[in-house]
Amino acid sequence: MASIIEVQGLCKDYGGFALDHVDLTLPGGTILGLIGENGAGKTTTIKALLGLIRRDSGSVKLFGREVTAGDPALLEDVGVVLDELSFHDPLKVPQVGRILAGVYRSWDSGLFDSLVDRFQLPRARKLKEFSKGMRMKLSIATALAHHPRLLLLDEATAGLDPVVRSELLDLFLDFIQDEDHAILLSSHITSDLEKVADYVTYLHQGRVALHGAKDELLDTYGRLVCARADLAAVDPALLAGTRVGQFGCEALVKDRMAFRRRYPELTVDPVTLEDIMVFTVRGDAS
Amino acid sequence: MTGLLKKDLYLSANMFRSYAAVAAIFSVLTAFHIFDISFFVSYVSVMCIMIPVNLFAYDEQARWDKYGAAFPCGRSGMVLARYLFTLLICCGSLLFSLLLQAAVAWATGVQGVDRLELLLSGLLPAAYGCFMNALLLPLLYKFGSQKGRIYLLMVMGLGVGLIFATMAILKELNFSVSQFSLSLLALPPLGLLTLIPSYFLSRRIFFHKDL
Repeated sequence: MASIIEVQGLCKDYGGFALDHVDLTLPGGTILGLIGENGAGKTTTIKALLGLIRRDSGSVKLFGREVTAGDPALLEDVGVVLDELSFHDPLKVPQVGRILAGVYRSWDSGLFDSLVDRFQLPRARKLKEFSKGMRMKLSIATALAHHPRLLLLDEATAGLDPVVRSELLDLFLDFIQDEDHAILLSSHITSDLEKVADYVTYLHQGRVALHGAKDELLDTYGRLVCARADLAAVDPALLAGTRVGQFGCEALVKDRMAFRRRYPELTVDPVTLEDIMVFTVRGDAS
Repeated sequence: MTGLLKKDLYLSANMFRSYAAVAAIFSVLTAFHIFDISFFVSYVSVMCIMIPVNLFAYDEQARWDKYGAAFPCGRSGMVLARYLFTLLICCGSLLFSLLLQAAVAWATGVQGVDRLELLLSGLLPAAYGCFMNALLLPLLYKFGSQKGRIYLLMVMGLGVGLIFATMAILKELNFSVSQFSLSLLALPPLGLLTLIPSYFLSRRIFFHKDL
């Protein structure tokens, strides 16, 4: 399977924050979930993929071609949803359609209209009257209506109710049925990524803290809940992070099976992506 | 790229209503001879400077730069579209000024007014709009619309100051502006030409910007 996104050694230093040798790979027919706390570098990574920032070093390739600001033609195949609405308040939905019809060669007005109908977006109202959810739906409709091969979605499900989120996730799953399509979805809502992502990359303080197939990560890591004395007896090398409370302790176990073999008397539960994130961040803070 | 021109057109149409309302007030005042027609024409030239500034403000509010730069036409397409639209605005204001001058001349039956003078009074404000936009647009790309408004006042002040200074020097040297009427006809095409280096400068600024 050919890689649609290939990022190697991406570095960008802003002074107070830096992306530090970020590597990413996204094969066709898959969804990559990009997770991380606020300011971890998710949006900066997406900007680098779109050529919106000048990187200090590293290589960023889309469809096998190096991304540069001077050669934006390959963006014809990329649908983008940024974390804030990019359309102007005084515009209306049909105007947005006409604007983008003059931007993308492969713009499909029929598909745009059908997505607008499907999302029940009002055509006669100005965008300033739209709710956050409606704005996000419009952004997704515009991202899909020019038949892209790659969707770059920055917090595309944020602020949406569970019903709409579920509907969008189904739409994304439909999209990647084509092996030539792929989605990079950055999100704080890790439960969404657990539903649809094939791969997960966890960015922490500008670095890739974790990358792998989602199912593999969730099968490998474990959550240990035990007494303080039990935790003290555990080999720290087997743990990725700990949380000590007044009534008990929790820890993120790196290899659930190996841990069970070594400490059969202790219970290790399955983890969620959120557990992995929280333990990593708290581990750093402590 | 036609989509980007459409976007500017839709947003400008939104502004045109308020500009037209002010224009209507000025035209009534002009009709009652409270203002001279040249004042009305100057208003049009100010509008052709204000519209691009306001478009920048709209774009910033919507964070359009990031989104637009991710289009297949890229950053160069965005800058080119903005300059083409500015050119359209300048040409539109020129045409409007000329038609207005002609209409007033026809309606009032002005006698003895030099046709060249009449033509110049329509052309020069449009040329002024071109010059000002050529100066202002790179500043807007560099500093954004908030600071850009301050630069707008500075640039317009500088422009008006230069005009008055030139007229004062000419008067001092016992020359009359009408002696240079033919030479002044070169200013509108010159104004349009200044948009070319301005475009390349803006493009360079925008290309080196992290969005």
